[in-house]
Amino acid sequence: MSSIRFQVSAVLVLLAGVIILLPDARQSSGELNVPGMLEAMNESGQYLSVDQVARMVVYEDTSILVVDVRDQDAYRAVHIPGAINIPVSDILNPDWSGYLNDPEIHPVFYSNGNTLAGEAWMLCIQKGYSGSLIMTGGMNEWYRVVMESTFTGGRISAADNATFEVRYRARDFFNRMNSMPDSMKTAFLEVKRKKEEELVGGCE
Amino acid sequence: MKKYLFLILTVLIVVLIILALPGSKSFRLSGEMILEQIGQNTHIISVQKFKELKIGVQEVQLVDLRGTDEFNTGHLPEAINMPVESLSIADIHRFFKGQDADCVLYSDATYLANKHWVLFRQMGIENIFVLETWPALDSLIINWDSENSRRIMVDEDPAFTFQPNSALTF
Repeated sequence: MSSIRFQVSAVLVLLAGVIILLPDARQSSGELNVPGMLEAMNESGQYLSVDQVARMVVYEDTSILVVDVRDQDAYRAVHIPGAINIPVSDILNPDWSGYLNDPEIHPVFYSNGNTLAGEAWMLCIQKGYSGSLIMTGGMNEWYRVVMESTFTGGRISAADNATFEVRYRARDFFNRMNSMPDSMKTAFLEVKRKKEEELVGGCE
Repeated sequence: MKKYLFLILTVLIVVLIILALPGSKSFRLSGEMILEQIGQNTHIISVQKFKELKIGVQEVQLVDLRGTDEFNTGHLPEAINMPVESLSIADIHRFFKGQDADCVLYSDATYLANKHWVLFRQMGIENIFVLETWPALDSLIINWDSENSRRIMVDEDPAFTFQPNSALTF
């Protein structure tokens, strides 16, 4: 009788030990805890360069969603084409989780610098929205690299040529989109898409 | 009957152990609480503010979050090193428990230190701040004594003005 008792309690204690020692990086609700966050912060690949984002914007890459985390006034004045506006103060609002928690789409946060985007990233990652990314340098870097850089030097290499081609197209897209009143933006995007479909063409 | 009592007691102990466990691993502060603190905008302090604090009654301690090698190459005066990437959670708790003064974190860039500020605050560590080191930490280390003009959140200042081009045709 007492041996059964002993066995049962031994099994239960073992079970408890296993549960405690399990390397759990997540709480039951899917949110990350401290070890999970430390791990996520040390991972590489959470940053995208301005050039990478420019390429994705120009080719309308649907695997990312550019998110402007500055306030509404700054967003209205000027923003990267295709970006949606979620101010940092509103980032935990569950209404946005459809955008931020989509497993197939990576949200790319940007602000004027890095600070606000970093805060938005921290809050989203710990909420369990894996796949969030940061555009390093933000709008200031975008202006310096995409809007104002020009090629200086003798002969241009193929790789440089591709980079500057993308920058030029991103610059043009950015200028046109931001110069336009809001009411015209959707119409412009439709025209742009149709023109590019014509260009791609094909044999019949 | 006695057997069941024994079983129930064991299960209770197990449940208690599991409940006591999250103390070190889960966050003390929720994301919403951190957001509130970010909104107050007092966590990032400028070099000038830091120097004022240092002269005043309040004790402040600079904490370098970079790796040991980088720290040994050059760091801000009177800073102590906490290589955050190689430390465990218990180490971090122990480090801050041993500090009496307010801790001011800095790293290669303001946003890197700020990320760790969010994490440490959520772990329940109080009286910590972030030093604004924009644009470059290296130049700040060299010019520390003469540096007095930095402001808060320079990183987020827009360095551009957009001129809508009304001559574009579509």
